[in-house]
Amino acid sequence: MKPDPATTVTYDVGQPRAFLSTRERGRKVLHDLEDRIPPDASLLVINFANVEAMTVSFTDEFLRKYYSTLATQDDGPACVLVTGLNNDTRETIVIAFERRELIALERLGDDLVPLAASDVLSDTFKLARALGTFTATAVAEKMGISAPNANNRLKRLVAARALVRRRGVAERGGKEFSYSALEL
Amino acid sequence: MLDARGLQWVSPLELAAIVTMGTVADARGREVRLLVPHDPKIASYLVRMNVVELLKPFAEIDGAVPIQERRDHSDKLLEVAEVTPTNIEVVCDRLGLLVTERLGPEAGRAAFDSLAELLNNATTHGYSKTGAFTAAQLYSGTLSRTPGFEFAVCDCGDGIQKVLSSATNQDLEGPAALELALNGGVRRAEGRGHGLPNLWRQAIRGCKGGELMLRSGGAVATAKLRSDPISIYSRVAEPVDGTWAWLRVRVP
Repeated sequence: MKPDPATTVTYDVGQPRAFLSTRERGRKVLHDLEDRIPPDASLLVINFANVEAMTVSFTDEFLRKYYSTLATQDDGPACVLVTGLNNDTRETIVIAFERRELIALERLGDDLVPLAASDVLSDTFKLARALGTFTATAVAEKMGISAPNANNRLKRLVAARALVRRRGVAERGGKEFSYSALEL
Repeated sequence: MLDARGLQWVSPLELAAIVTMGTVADARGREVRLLVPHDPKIASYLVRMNVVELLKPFAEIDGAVPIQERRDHSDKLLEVAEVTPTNIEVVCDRLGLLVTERLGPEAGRAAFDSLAELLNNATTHGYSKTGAFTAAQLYSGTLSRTPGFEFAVCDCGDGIQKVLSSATNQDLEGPAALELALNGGVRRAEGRGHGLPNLWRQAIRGCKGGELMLRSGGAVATAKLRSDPISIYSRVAEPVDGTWAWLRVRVP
């Protein structure tokens, strides 16, 4: 899936050399982010390039809560990326996300990396990118796993807005979901 | 009575603790008296770090207080300051700049993560009407040969035992409560209770190691921060109000 520049939104977190410390600040940034996302946004890029360091408390209140909300609803941006991280801010996100079993997709140069993902989910995401658009059955066959197992993995990547899921019609009739990975 | 006469060495912890104890005593309607250190260098340092200025409005200052021309050392120290939910972000910003500029980006960011979590604790569940006080100092290592950063925050809130006993519905004893707090045994419904355990993981990135001391109620925990951290939990004879936290980070 190629992102449409017209519906891509970039949200810059903090002012230059920002040190983000409190839960209160996390709540404010979360509300600000939510206010700035138009309903038709296809890709949201959350840019941390200005952030020097941030606490787990801030990150939990801001980014973790945003991704937790995304995981429980179908509306909102189809894809979400984080970018501009340094080693510190990346590790802080991993700490905040690991405990909730959440994933955030990071744009790292020309690559996309699922943060706080297990090896199994990272491998599934790599395969998804190689396949482009695919079904859960294709992932199950390629990885030698059961269809429900493939579905569970894809569900988590969709919840993190790392993959886009669309409902279609299967060749033999009936409903079938197809999945697409973001192309940079 | 805050008897500082015999002080030979003083760190941010003692400075913040002196002001905190004086403030709590005053809030309880007790007379407060500071006996100034005999060592003129230490007495001068107490003045430099705002201890006398913060106590003066309500305390009797007993002893010779040096008059000094104050230089700006904001690039290497934070004088004792009250930290509140209103000014915590300003204090964190200042400390963040200080540590990243002087310790380097990696060690500085790691130190910021830890000190900001300690300040968060002091201004949320550790907060009370008598406030919390913080201080910090960077060391060049000229005397100690161990350059690094030292930070302290003392609050007069409920203390770790009370907060954790309430969160777990158990009557936790002092050392056990501190051990639980440091090892992350408490997961509260709203996802909190992770700040202190993360110190183990974060505080020493890019550093040569360090120490964390927590004193709350009648217990004290001392933790050596390193890749294989160790900690000691014990009782103390003199209980304190709230929680005192001290962090020392050494840099290569």
